[in-house]
Amino acid sequence: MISRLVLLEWKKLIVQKEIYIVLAICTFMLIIAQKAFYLSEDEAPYRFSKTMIDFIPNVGYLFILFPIIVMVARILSVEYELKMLELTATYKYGRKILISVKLLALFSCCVVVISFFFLLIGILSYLNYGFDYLDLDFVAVNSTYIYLDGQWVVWQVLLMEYLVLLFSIFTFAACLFLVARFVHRSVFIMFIGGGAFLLVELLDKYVMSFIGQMKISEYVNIVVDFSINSLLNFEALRLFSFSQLLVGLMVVTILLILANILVKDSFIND
Amino acid sequence: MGEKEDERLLHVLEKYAHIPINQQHKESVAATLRAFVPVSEQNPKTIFKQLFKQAMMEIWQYQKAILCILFLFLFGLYFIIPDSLDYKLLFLVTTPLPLVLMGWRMLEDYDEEMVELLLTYKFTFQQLLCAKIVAVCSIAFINYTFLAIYLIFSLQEDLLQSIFRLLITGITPILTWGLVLLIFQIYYRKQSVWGVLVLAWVFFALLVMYTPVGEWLLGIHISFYVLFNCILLILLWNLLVRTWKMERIVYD
Repeated sequence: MISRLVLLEWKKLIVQKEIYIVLAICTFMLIIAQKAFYLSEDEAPYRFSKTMIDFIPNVGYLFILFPIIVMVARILSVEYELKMLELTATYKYGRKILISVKLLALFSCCVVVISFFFLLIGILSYLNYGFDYLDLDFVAVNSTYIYLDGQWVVWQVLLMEYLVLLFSIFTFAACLFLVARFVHRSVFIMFIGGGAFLLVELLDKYVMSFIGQMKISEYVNIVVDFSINSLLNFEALRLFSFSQLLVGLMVVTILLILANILVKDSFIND
Repeated sequence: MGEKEDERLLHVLEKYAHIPINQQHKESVAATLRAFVPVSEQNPKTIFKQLFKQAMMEIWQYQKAILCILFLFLFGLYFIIPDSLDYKLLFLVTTPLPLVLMGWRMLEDYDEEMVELLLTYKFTFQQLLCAKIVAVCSIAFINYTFLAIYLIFSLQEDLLQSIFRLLITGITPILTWGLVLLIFQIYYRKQSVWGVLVLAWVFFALLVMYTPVGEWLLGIHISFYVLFNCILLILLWNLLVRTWKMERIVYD
């Protein structure tokens, strides 16, 4: 039953043209970004591995976050726009099951989107630089964005990146999903999700350069350090170890899933 | 001819009896003529001018607050940004802002409730749409002109070539957005798509301003932008002409 529902939720998502539009735009922007961030032979000995590791924390997370925001905005609001919202309340197994299924579908979307962009970056890096061995020592790659203690090899770092990114993105998606339970218009949800992310980016990249010497910059730093942005660009690895981060993200994810299931919609009673 | 010939002609005409005109025959002849004689229409240029003026007045009437705030915001931003490279990148990402803001409004205006009302209007929806698109693009070009003049006077470098390249590059986002707006108005008119596009532009602006992507874009040879702008202009023109010529929608 659950698998059939998940499949139905997937079908509801994949028939929406907005998803394909956003994926096409992100693919195009990623190709341009890869061209702009081209590494010459002098800059790094293992260019393929360096690009695979550094591209996502550098700018790659933008191209993953954007489709997820759009998917979250569409997964719930489509029922409101088709005037089906009240009808879903009559589902015989209850609305909690429906919400759980939607979250499961959302999680699988995150897996698919992150895998797609990892693959795309891999293909583009291979076309630009050829292939390196993935069991290279991580220290030899000289990454600019990833900070790890201990002995790591490239494929382990990539796996770590994948898992942290997956749970970070899903945490953000689950928060936005909670907002979408009350804000039914998909455009507003997109603007809330995009706005929250962009506000922190502007604080970090622009406002801090003006208020760097002031006392308020400490509080702004705290906001930036504990925001989704620091998770997605892996700045959080400066404050926490990988295992602490992963466990923390999993706990937060479970709490958000529970919150989503237990919160009642304003217009119906379960 | 003399008076005598006139009298003779009149006499001949009076000799013949008047042919009785059958009312039904008159009506059927008139119907036949109406079916075959082309209906006189106003010149498309006249119609377009009228609709364009109407669209500009409508935009000014309903969105002057947004436009004024936008212009003030843009000029304020240019005063704050200190570096000349950032000016160039800012110029790239801010030229289509009027389109971005007003495209939203255009999508909201023509929904299902308006369809019946639009059918009573003497011009078709397609003609209104074409005029509005051109009006909105014109406002974006006015914005572009003001910003370009400001840039020319504020950039301290003696780089006429680089300013010229920047001006050519600045046209590309306006034409792209104009074409995208028209395509989505015709084929997939949903507000959520506009939300996606606005977010995409904001993410793109972030990428351009804070990563080497902006410099890379400015480094592309000017001939590419000239060619691209020409292609966009041709596509936009063709689509506008095709849309203008479409038949009035039949609504049951």
